[in-house]
Amino acid sequence: MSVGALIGLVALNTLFLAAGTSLVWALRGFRGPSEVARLAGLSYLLGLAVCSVLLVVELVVGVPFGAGLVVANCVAVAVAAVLATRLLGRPRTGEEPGPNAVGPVLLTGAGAALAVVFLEAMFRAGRLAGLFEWDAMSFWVPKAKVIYFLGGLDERLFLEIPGQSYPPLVPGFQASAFAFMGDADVVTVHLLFWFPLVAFVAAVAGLLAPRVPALLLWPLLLLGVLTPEVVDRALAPQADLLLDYFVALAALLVALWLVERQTYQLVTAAALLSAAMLTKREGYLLTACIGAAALIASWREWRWAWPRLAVALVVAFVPTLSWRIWFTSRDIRGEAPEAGGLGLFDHLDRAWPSLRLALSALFDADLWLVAAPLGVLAVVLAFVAGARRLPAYAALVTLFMVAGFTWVTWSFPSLPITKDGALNPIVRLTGSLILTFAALVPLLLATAWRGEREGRA
Amino acid sequence: MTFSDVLHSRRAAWGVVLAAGLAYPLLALAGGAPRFPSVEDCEHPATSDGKVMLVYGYFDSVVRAGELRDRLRGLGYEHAEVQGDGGCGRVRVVVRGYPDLEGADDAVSEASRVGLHPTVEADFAS
Repeated sequence: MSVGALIGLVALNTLFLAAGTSLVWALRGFRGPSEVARLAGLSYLLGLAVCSVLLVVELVVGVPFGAGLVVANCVAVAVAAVLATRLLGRPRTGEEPGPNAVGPVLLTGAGAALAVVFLEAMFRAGRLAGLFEWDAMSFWVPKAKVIYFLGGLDERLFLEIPGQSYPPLVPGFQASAFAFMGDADVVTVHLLFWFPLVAFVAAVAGLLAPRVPALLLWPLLLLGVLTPEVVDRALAPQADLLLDYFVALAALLVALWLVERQTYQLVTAAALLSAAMLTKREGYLLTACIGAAALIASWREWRWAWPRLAVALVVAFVPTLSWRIWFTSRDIRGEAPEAGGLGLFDHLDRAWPSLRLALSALFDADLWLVAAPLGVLAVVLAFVAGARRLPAYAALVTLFMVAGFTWVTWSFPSLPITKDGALNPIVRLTGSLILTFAALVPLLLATAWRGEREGRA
Repeated sequence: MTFSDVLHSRRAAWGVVLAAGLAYPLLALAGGAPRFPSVEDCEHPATSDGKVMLVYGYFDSVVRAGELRDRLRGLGYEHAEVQGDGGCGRVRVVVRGYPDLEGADDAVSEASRVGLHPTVEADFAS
C-alpha cells in the first residue's frame, strides 16, 4: 500500500472511463458536459467491459501482457469509437427523457451526498484490507499474479490453480492493476473493486435520474448497495460483485430498451453481458435469463424486437468462445453440471429443497434486508397501475433467475442444501438478482407512480 | 428565496454533495494523517519471554533466502527455515523455538562470532 499504488489505480480506471466515454459518445452522443458527467458510471462500466473482453481475447491468443497492452487496448477502443462516429455519422440522442432530474433537485443532491459518504467509507475500509477471502487467495489473485509475472496465461500454472475453467476477465483486470501499481500489491488491489462499485451506483443513478423521482431513486438504489452482503463483499478481489454489476446494469438497459427503443441501450447491454459471461460461468445463465425475459416481454412487437435481441445475444456470446476454446482444447472439465444433461431427473428429491433454498437466500433479511420483497411489491404495483411490458419483463427476469439458482443447487448433487457460502454458492448467486432489483425497482415504482399504461411501459 | 426555490436550486444541491463529500474525509483526518504501512510493519521485536525467534535476514527472493538457510545449516543451525514474513510480501530466514529473551540473546552473541547478526523477534506463528 503506497500513494504510488493508489495513483496507479486511478490512472488505470481513468483509462477505462475515457475509453467508455468515447464509446457512449459514439453510440449515443451527449447533449452537453453535464450529460457526460451524469453518464460517467455507465461509460466506465462499458469501457471496463469492452477493454476487458478485448484483453481476454488477446491473452487467449497469446499476446504478451503488460501495462502497454492495457493502454493500447483503451486507446484502440477510443479511436475505434471516434472512427465509427466519423464513418457512420453522429448518433441522435432520440426520444430519451431528460436531461434534468425529476423532482426537486435538492433531493437528488441529498441522495447523491449519502451515496458519496457511503462510498468514501467503503474506500476507507478497503484501503488496508488484507487478502483473507478464500476464493481470492485460492485462485483469483494467484491467476492474476501468473498473468502479471509471466506475461500471459501460463498453461502449466493455470492448470494447477483451482477453478481452471473460470474465465480470466477478473484475473486480467487484477493483473492490469498490478501492472499500473508496479507491484502485485494484494492489499491495494481491494480498492480496484471500489471503482466498479462507484461506477455501478453512478450508472444506475445517471440512467434513472431523468426518469425516476429522486425520492424513489436514491433510497431504493442505496438500499441495494447497503445490504450486508454487498457491503461485506464489494471490495473482495473476486468476481462475484463485478458480475452482479454487469448483469444488473444490463438488465436495466434492456428494460429501458423495451420501453424507449434506443439502440445504444441494447448495444451497451450486449457488451456488459459479454463481459459478464467472461467474468464468471454464471454469466451465461444470467444472460439467458435476461434474454429470455426480454424475448417474452416483447412478444407483441416480435418482428421488430426479436431479431435485434437475437443479434445482441449472439454478439455478446461470440467473444466468450475464445476462452471456451482455450480451456476445452486443454481438456479442462468441470464446466458442465455434475448431474449431466438428464441427470436432474435422477435427483428429483433435490428439486423442492433447491427451490426453497433459493427463495430462502433471496428473502433473507440478514443478507439482503428487504430488497427482494420490495422487488416483488414494485412489480405488483406497476401491474396494478396499468403498465405491462416493464413489470412483465421484471417478473420474468425474477422468475428465470430464481429457476436458474434452483437449477444450480439441483444439478450439482454434491452441493449441500445450505446457505453456508463455503459449501453452496447460492448466496453469491442471489446477489445478481438483488442488484438487478436495486436498478429496476425505482423504475417500476416510478412507472406505478405515474400510472403509465400499455405502449409506454 | 423561498423554500421551493431552495428545493429546486442546483447550487444548494451541489452544496449538499460537496459538504457531505468533504465532511467525511475531514472528520476521518481529524484523528491524524492516513498511515501507509511499510514492509517493516511485519518486523516485531520480541519484548517478553515466550515464543521468540531469531531472524537472520529478510529477502524479496525465495532463492536468496534459501541460499542463506543452506549456509546456516552448514554452520550447524539445523533448524533454520524459510518462511513468509506475515503479510508484507517478503520471505525471511529464521530459527524458531527460543523460550525466552535471555536464551535468544545468547544465541545472537554466539552468531555474531561467525559474522551473523540476527534480530530477536516475536514468533506469532508458534
